[in-house]
Amino acid sequence: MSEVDISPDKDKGVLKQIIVEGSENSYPPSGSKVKVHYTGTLEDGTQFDSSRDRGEPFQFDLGKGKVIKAWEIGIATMKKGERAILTCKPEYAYGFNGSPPTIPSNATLKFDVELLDWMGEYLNEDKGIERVETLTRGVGFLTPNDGARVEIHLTGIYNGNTFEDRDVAFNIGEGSESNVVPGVEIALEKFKNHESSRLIIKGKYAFGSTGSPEFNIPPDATVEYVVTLNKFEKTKASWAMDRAEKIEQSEIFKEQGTKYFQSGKYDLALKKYKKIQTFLENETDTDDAVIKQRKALLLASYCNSALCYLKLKDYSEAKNAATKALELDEKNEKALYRRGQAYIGLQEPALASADFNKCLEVNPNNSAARSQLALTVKLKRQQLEAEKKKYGNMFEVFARRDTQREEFEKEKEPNVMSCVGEWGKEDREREPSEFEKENPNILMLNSSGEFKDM
Amino acid sequence: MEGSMVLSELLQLTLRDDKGDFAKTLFNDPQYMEQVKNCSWDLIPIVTGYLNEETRKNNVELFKCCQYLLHFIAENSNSEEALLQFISEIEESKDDTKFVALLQPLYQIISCLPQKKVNSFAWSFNAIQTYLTQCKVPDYEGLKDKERLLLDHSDDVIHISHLYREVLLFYDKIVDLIPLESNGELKKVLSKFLIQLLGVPHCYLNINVYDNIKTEGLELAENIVNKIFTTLRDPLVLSEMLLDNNYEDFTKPSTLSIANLFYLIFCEHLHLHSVPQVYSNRYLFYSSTHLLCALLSHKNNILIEKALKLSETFLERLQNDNVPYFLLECEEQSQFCKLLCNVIMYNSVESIRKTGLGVLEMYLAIFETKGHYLITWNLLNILNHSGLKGYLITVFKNKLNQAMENGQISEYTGPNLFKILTVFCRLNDKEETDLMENSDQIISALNFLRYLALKDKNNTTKFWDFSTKLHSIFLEPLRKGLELSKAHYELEIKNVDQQKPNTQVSVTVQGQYLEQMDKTEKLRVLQQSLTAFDVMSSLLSRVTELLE
Repeated sequence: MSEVDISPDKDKGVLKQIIVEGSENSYPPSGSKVKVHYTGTLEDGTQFDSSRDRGEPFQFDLGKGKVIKAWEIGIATMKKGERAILTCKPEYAYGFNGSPPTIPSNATLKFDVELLDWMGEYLNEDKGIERVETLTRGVGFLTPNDGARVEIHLTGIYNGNTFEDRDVAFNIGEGSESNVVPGVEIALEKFKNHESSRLIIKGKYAFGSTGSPEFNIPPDATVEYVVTLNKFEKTKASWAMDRAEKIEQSEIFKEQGTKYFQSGKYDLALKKYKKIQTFLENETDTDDAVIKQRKALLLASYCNSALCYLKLKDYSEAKNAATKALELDEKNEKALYRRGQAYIGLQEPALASADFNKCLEVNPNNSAARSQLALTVKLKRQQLEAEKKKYGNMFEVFARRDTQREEFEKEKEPNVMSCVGEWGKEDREREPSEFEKENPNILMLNSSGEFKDM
Repeated sequence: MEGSMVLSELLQLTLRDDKGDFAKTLFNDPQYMEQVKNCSWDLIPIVTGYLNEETRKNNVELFKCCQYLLHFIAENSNSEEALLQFISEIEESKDDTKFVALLQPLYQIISCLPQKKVNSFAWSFNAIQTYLTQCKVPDYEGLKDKERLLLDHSDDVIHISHLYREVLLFYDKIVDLIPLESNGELKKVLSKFLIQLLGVPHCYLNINVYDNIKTEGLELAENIVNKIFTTLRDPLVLSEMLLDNNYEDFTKPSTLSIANLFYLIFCEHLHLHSVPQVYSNRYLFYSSTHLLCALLSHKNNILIEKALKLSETFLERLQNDNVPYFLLECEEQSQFCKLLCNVIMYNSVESIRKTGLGVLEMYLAIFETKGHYLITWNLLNILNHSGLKGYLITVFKNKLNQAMENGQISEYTGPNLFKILTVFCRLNDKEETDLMENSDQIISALNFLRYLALKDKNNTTKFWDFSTKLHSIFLEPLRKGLELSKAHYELEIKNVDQQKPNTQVSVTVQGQYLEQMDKTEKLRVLQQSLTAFDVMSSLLSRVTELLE
C-alpha cells in the first residue's frame, strides 16, 4: 500500500501506509478509549519507544488532546485490527522543543501502530450511560458543576425515530422539572462548553421501568440522545475569563437570582447576586456600551440584593447594598426606596424620609414611597413619645432611688440599742447587698446567700 | 481453654527467667501444638515484648530465641488471626529493632495465607508505611549544594535508609509472591504501596548528585522506582487517577508520593524510557500541574526545589508553544501561579527565589498572547510586591513588542490595553501613595508608557485614545505625589543633618525604620530615596512630554 497524506491541511504532516487492513468497517469515534500496540522510531531507525516491548497495549482517550496531533488524526482513520505506519512531521509530533532526552528537536517520527480495540466512554459507575461519540469537541476544561445552570439542545432517538428535539435550560440536579432524563443530566457534568455528543442511555437512567407512553417508549428501553451544551454557568471565576465571558456569566447569575427570589429562596438569590459583584467589580472598561452593560448588571445585583436583605430583615446589609447601588446611580428609584425601607428597619426615620423624599423627586407618582413617607412621620412621632416616656420617668426614677439610698444608709448604722456584743437577727434587718452575695466567704453568708449566724 | 492459659503463662515465665531453650521445647511439644495454632493472639505480644534493642544488646541468645519463636508462630498458627496481631504489633512498634524483626515473620504469614485477600495485603503494607512515616526527616536548612551530602551521614538519614532497606527486602519477596498476571486488585494495592514509599519520609531527602556522588536518597529511589515499574506500565495514569473519584482510595497513593515519582522519572530520568512517548507535551504539563502545586505548597525547601526543577522540565517542552488561554480555566493553573509567586517573593533562599522567577518567566512564555495577558492582569490584581509587579510589566512590554513585530497585537489593543494599563498604573492612594514602596512598579509602568508612546506612533494599539485618561489617573497624581515625597524627604534630611529629633516627619524605607540607624546611614538611605524619586521624575517628565 502506498503512503496517503491524512493531515487535514494536506501538508504531508501525517502520512499513513496501511500494512494490514482492518476487519470491521468502522472507526474509533472521538472520545472513545482506544487500545493500540505501537513501536516508534526516529528517521534514522532508532527505536525510542514500544508498547510491544513493554508487553502491554497502550490505552488512551481519543480526541482529548492527550497524545500528539499526528496520533489524534491518524488513529481516528484506522479500522479495528488495522496496522499502519504513521510518519509524523515534527509540527504534528514534538516540534521544536522535542521530548528530551529521547526525541530531539524537529524530529520526524515513524510509528508502527496496530489498532486493537476501542470502547465508548462510560460516564457513570454501572456503565448505564455511555458517551459513544463526540460530534463537536468542547472548548476549554471546565464542566458544569452540580447546581449549575445549563442551556442545552437535546435530541432523543428510539428505534431510529426522534421522539424529542428541543432546547431546554435548567439547573443540574433539577432536570426532572424540565423533563430531562437523569442520564442526560449526569452526562452533562462531563461535558465541556459547546460540546456535542451522542449518548446511549440505559432504561434505568432514561424512562425507567414505566417507560414513556407519551413518546411510545416501552419499559426499560435503552435510548439514544444527541446533546449539545450551548452555555453553562461557571460557578467560580477563573483566570481564563475575559470581560465578555464575565458579562455573559453575570447575565446567567441574574436570571438564576431572580428565579430563586421568586420562589422565596432569598439566601440562594443573594449568593447569585454576590457572584455578579465579584465577577464585575474589578473590571475597567473604555467602551461605552460595555460600561453601560456592566453598570446595569451591577446595579441590578445591588438593588436586588437590597431587596433580599429586606426580606431577610437584615436591614444593615440592605442599607449597604442599596448604598452601593446609589453610588452607581444616585437617582435610582428602587435603590432609594429600598434604602428608605432599610432605614425604617434600622429605626432611622430621619434618614428614611430623606430617601423617600428623593425617591419622590425622581418619580412624584410613586405612591408606595408616599405611604412609606407617612410611615416615617409616624415612626418619628412614636420614637419621640417613647423618648419622652423614658426621660420623663427618669426624674421620678432618680428621685426614688435617692430616697431609697438614704434609707439604706440609715439602716446600715447599727442599732446599738437592740443588742450588744454579738451579731443577732436584729442586726440583720437588711438584705445582703449584691457585693456581699458575690463574696460570701468574706461576709460569712450561708450557701443560699443569707447571713450565717455566728 | 485451660491449656492455652498454661502455654502463655508458661511462656511468660520461661522468657522472664531467660530459659529460651525451654520455650523452644515447649513450642515443639505436640501437646501444645493446638495452642500454638489457635492462641497466637496471646503468644505474639509476649514474644515481641523481648524483641527490642535492649534485649538484642544485652541478651543476644534470648533475642534470637524470640525471633525463632515468632517464626514458629508464623509458620504454625492460624495465619489470619496471627496476621492481625502482627499488623497491630508493627503499627505500635516503638523501636526499629522490633519493627525489623517483625518483617520476616509478616512475610511468612502473608505467603501462607490460604486466600490471598486484598485487604490482608493492604493492611500489612499500610502498617509498614505508618511506621515509616513517623521517621524524623533531616533538615537541610543552611546547607548548600555539596554540603548537603554531609547529612547523608546524619542519624536521621542513616535511620531512614536502614529502615527502607529492610522494607525493600520485604517488598522484593512480595513482588515475587504476587504473579504479574494475578488478580488486578492485588497488583493495584501493591503498586500503591510501592509508590507510597516515595512519600513521607523519602520525599524529604536530598536527591541531587554532586561530583558523581550518589546520595542515599537517590540510591533508595532507584531501588524503589525499579520495583514500581514491575507493576506499573504508564505513570501518567497516576496523576489522573488522583483527580478521578471513580478510583477507590485504597488504590490511590498520596499526592506527594506521586509528585516525587514524577520528579524522579522526569528530572532524574529514572525509568523515563517507560513513559509512553506519544503523550503530548501539553498534556504532560497540565495533567501534572496539581502535583507541582502539592510540592510548592509545602514549606520544606527540598520539596520546593523539586517542584521548580520539575516545572522547568515540563515548561521547557512547551516554550513558545502558543498554549491556548483556556488552560487557565483549570484552577490548578492559577493556583500554580500564586504558589510560584509566593516562592519568588518570600522564600528565604535567594537561589530558590531566582529559580522561581525563571520558572514564572518560562510559564508566561508557553501561552499565546491572550493567556499571557490574562495571567498578567490577574496577578497584578492580587500581588502585593512592587518588584514582582514591575517585573511582570516589563515582561508584558517585551511580549507586546514581540507581538507588534509579528503584527499580532489584537489582544493588546483598545479596551484591553486600557484595562491592563489601569492596573499597571494603579496608585492606590492617588498622590498619597507610598512611592518608595511602589517604585519598581511605577518605574516599569512609566517605561511601558514611554515605550508605547515611542513605538506606536500610528496608534495601532489605540493607546493614544486614552492618553488624557492616563493623565488623570496616573501621571498627574504621580507628579503631585513626587513633589510631596521629595519635600518630605528633603525636610527629613535636614532634620537628620541638624540632629533634630523628627517630630513631624517619620519615614520608613522598604520596611526599615530610620530611627534604628545611625546618622550617616540614615542620610545614605534618604539620599537613595531621593535618587529614586529623581529617576521617577525624569521618566515622568519624559512620558508627559511624549504624550503631549
